[in-house]
Amino acid sequence: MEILLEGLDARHRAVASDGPKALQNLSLRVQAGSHLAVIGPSGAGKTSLLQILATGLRPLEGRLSIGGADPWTLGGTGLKRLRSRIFYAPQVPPLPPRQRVVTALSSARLPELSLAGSILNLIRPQFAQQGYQALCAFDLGEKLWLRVDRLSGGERQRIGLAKAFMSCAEVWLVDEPLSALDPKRSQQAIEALLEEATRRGVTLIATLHQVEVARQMFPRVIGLREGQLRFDLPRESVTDAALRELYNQYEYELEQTPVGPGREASLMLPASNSPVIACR
Amino acid sequence: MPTFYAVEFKPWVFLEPQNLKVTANFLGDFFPPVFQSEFLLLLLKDAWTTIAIATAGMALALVFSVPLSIAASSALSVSSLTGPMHPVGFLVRQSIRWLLIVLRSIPELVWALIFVRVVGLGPAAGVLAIAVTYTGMLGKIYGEILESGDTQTSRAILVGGGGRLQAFSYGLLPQNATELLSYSVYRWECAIRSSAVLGFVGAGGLGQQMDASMKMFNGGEVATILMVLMLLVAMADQISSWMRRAVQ
Repeated sequence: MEILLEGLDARHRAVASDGPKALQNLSLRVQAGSHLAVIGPSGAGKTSLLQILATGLRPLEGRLSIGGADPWTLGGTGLKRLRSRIFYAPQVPPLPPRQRVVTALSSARLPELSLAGSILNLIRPQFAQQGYQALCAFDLGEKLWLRVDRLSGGERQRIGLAKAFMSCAEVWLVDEPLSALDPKRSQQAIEALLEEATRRGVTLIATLHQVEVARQMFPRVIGLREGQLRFDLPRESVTDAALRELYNQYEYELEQTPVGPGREASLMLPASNSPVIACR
Repeated sequence: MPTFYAVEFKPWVFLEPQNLKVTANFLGDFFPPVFQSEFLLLLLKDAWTTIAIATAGMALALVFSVPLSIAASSALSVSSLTGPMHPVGFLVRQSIRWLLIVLRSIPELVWALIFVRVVGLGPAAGVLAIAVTYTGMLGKIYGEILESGDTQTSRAILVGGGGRLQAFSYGLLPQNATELLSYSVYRWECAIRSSAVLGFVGAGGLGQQMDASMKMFNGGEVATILMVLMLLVAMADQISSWMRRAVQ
């Protein structure tokens, strides 16, 4: 689905109505099936942007169009249908501690299930096969039947990403997918995401703290700061100077980017366990 | 202090010789408790009636309070994900809340008196009284538990295009299951106690027996009945801890 923003303003719901805006006059066009990284210092509005696109936050002003329609003119049923075509993965995935991984994963399929079907799925999981394949892409295959509270923070984050593989959405919005992962896992996770998004033709938008990952893996990078678009460039044009300006006074965030050895080698890894998940 | 004054709380009246004598007589009557097998058999039957009233009342209350609390919970409001709640949703939730207030603000004893008139003396009146009051109580507390817990999962499901009941069964329920369960079992324990009280107005069970024994100044029997009540509550407590462990 193509995404279009024009002169968009937004304010976080917890902020008073005269408080600072999270996004200001933001214009952006994301072609269907393209991959985009959003970078910028903390508080730049990266998460707000994803929430706007996930229709979890309503813009104050400006034009928003997702797949050719303004979500906020669609009405209840239309909005619900649109929402089922968008997958949003928050930085900390919302997983009930006592739920099993297989159930948590299948919650990504709820929009296509009837109520009876989804209750039945609680008793007799129907998506075990797909769940296992999605987990395998993140090296978590053996965790399928465990309870969420048995998992570490990094494992939970990867479960959250595996949920994207489970969903039938055409847009994946991924917020800081690597924040709880070590460099090796980060590399593996972002490769798996990009590969699967390409295979399915999914539009992938990810916010990243790891500037180097954004520059190496994503064809297009946008820089946000104080809710404003600072640059919107193909990756080869993202210069060190542009980054320094974007992170001016936030240099420590730029420096902590992990640069693991052997990244080039791991980039060459063949597509081994590419999951095949059929969507209705 | 003003509240003590209002309720005429004067502990020293206990120590006046006249009152001490009355108290001693009343408590003295409790000994020895009656342990005749015939009476115990009767109590066993009454205890069973008391448990049955409480359990049937609870079951009816669950049937009504669960849907009402789901409907009333603002945690499942789609419109309030992104702004103020839709007026229709607000009206529905608010009117359910008022209904629950009406149901639980009238004590079960009063409901029982009403139902005794309608369906006559006997356990049915007790069952209905507990069902009505507990629908109000459970509906309110379930709704609050659902709202006070972590709502991130259910919100994520709603923003992901899922339905309200799906958000409930995949988000709110697993998040709050133990709390809901232990509160329900505690309420069942309360229901056992209140069904005993309802016996006094003719709803059957241990209460009716206690009423009869008291009217005949048979303290020994009252003591035995109280012991049976304690046993019932202890039993409910044990069942509660088993169930909670099963869900952990």
